[in-house]
Amino acid sequence: MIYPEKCIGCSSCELACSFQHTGEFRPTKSRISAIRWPKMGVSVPLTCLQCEDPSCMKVCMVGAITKDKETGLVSINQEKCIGCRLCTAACPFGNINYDPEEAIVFKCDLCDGEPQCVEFCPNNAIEYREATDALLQRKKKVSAKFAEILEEVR
Amino acid sequence: MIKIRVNGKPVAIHDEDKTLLDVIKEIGINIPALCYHPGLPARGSCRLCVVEITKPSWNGRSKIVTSCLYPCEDGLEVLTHSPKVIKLRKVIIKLLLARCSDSKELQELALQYNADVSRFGTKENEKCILCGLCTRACEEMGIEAISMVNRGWKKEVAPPYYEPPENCIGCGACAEVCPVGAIELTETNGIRRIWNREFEIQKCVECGKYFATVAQLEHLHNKYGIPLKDLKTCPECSKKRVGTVLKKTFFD
Ligand code: FES
Repeated sequence: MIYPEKCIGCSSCELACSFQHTGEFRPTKSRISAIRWPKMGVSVPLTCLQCEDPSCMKVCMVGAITKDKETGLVSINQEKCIGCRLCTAACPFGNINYDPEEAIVFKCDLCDGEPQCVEFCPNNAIEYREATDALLQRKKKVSAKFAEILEEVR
Repeated sequence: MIKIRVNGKPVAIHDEDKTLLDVIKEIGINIPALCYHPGLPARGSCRLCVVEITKPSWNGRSKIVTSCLYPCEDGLEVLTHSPKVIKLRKVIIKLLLARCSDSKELQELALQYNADVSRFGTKENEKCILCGLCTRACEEMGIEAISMVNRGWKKEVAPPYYEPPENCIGCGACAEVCPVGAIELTETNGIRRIWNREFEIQKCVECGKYFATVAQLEHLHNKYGIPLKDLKTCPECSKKRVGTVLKKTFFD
């Protein structure tokens, strides 16, 4: 769950994420990004939404992308990946990236249940919690409004 | 549950669909397997993954099989580095090296297996070991732009009639899975070249970065009905677009 109103655009999540996954502090290798509007003092943290019916998974012809039935996590099996990179273009939210240095595609893996972005966010703008009714309510409300605005801007 | 022994060590296998190679890799034994890729169907073409198998009921007889294709059978005894296997693998390495003398991967194997001097003549400028991983990758992609053509010593991988393949989308999966780097893919000034065909690379309509071939995007559009205009931004800018909508959702 994200709380953009709490995000201060500090990059802690990006640094923690890239360090966790690559051992380097490099936001370009982060699975999460804060999109910033510095003049407005606004920023929004964004990462994989672990979609119900993931486009990335649909376009992967070798079954390298799967969704865990229990946890909902959408993950990439690097060994199976044949490098066609269709998933990077198919994700409507731009949450799968290609790393030319490693020649791999990568996405958020929720750090095996302990997301480092959550751990290091100084202002609790990202949370990782069991879905309660209240949270689901909020999510529904946000997605309804999101869908509305998305229709407008298209 | 299936029980086998690998180099004398008992191994219990729960997934009956596993091949011997899967198990051998899982328990950390390293054998060469150039034509194997976990994401693609196995075909047993390089023959490097050979192992010796036997069963107590076979009265001391044994067989040599390609482990990437052989299923796990209860009671099998598998030897991955027996003298017979090593000898055979050495010959295979020599043969492959005779065909592709410049291949770093093969030279490394030759060193490892002490198979440096080839008693077979060498072929000039050949890189491909004909393992078929590229054609399998293309097949799995549902594209089939390349295939094996001709027979015997003329056999090679090529697009139909050796012409730039019309249905190829320039995704580069073939080059990616090639175990010996035999497929050339270059990218300059927004053009990707592969299989003698040039592919225009889409420039992100927001930031101008080149990110995928136009043919890849058209493929996504044709096959999955994703609107083309939604495909023209790079991942970063798609993310920004979502961010903008979210910003409006929360702050306007
Ligand atoms: S990996 Fe089994 S024959 Fe090539």
